[in-house]
Amino acid sequence: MNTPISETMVDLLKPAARSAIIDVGANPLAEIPTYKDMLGRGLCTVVGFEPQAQGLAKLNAQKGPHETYLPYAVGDGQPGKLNLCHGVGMSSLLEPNPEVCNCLNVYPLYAKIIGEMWVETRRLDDIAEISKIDFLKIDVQGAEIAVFRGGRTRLSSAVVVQTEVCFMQLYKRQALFGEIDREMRSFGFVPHIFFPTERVMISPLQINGNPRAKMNHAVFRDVVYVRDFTRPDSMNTEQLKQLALLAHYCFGSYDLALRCIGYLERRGDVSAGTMMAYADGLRPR
Amino acid sequence: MTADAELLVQLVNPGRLTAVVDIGLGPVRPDPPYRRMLDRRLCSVIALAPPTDPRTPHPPPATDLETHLPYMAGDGTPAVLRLCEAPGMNSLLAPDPQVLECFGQYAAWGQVVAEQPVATRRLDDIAEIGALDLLRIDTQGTELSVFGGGASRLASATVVQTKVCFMPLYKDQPLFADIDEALRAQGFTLHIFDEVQRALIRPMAFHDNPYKTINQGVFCDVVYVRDFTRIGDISTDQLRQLALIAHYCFRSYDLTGKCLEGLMARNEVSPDALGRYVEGMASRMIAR
Repeated sequence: MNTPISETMVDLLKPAARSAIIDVGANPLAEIPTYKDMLGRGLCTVVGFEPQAQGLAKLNAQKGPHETYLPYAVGDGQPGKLNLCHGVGMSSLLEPNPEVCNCLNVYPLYAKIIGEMWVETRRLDDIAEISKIDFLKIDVQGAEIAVFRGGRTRLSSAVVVQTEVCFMQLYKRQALFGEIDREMRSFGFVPHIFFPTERVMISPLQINGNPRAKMNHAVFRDVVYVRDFTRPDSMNTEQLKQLALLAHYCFGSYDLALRCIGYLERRGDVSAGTMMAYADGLRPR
Repeated sequence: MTADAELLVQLVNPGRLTAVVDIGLGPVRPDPPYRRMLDRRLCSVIALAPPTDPRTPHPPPATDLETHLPYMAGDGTPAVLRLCEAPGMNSLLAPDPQVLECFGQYAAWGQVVAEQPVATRRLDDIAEIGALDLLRIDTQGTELSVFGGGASRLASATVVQTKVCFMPLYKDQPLFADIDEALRAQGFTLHIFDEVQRALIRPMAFHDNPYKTINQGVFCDVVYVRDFTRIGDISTDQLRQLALIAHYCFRSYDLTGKCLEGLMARNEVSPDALGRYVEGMASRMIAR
């Protein structure tokens, strides 16, 4: 399947604005974000957060024209203590849970606290630099629910949320996948994509002395939620357009994009034949 | 029996066969995870399924260790079994056309072709079941009522393999979060959560391959085990059974190691049990 050129889809759907992507999470430089291609095509704006000055400077030095990085920690609006851990990706507003980490290989090391930093947190709904949210990407090591609840208003119009979900309490009082799933559904989302599960070996066994070797035990994975497309009446025209664009460019979910365009065409929000034009654009040439 | 098998059984010394209960709505699904235990005569299996779908007759048990009982597990109240166009969609719940219509051929598969009243039996009330160590269940949405009717037996079980759904294919279907909550309340934790089964969102269709999908996750087989991070809450008998099931059914050798460590701390196995297990397993310790 060829990816049609970007302009075709935007021309077909004529969204009111570029897709607004908010990236809340640890070190956006560490991985290739799912919106990278969309950003490269100039089809979205990204607002990211980095409370640590050094990291922020690095992000600002590399950013493109549609990116903004802010020195805030996102949360429930209360001051919080950021636990800085030996494993950079483990740093969290929550405190690591030794009772659980000690049952696993390598996590006792990752979870070792090497410093702490008091931060003001800001609620997503209160951040003036955000005009709207279409896609929230979040990786905050257990503090997801506080972010969702502090962004209730803006999340009510968002159409995609990509979040890490955990299956064991690596942190004290951490919300696990079940709780996040209920919260997401209460906001009108359903799960769409399950990225591969991160696994770990249960201690004390090791393979060839490699503490990072993996067996079956599941620890966390990234899940992409989308607004419930089985109930299209819950989405307005712009939401359907944004969902189609994000599904297409960020995730290659052409089937979801096509369904959204079908709803738009039935409502008369795009011209007749748009669905066929989109489907034609997907055909191998 | 292989040398390895003898070794773990010797080390753990369970004193009885592992008791498996396999609950479904049709014939036992192929390649059950306990196959390797059955082949070594290390477990007994009771398979429960209603005999009501003439399209899918149940083959007789293949071994003397397996018993098939024509019971529908549930909450003990009378229910209606919906037979669907695709027998795999049969359920005590009513398919939800609004959701099914969104996915591939699900709307056709989920057409109800007949309804039959069935009696349901609580797992706790089925006299033929002695012990329960490994529960495997796939009842298309009624897992929670099975757990509710089997709370006493579930309290002694060490492993539950269940299907969990992410889209409500049936009306009032419990989804992942509900099943997860019920099993965690019973002292289990999620262990294996691999590839999620996907469906293509309509109206897209691939004419060269009707089974091709893109991203949309629909359901998954997951494995819960006794919460090994609170090993003090796991009885000695449960640790023995968990060690065996983790090893033979799921190749979770690390979990077996954790159980052996726990048994050693209680002086229930020889103090070199873990060392001997690791030594015996050396050739099989291949990381995924």
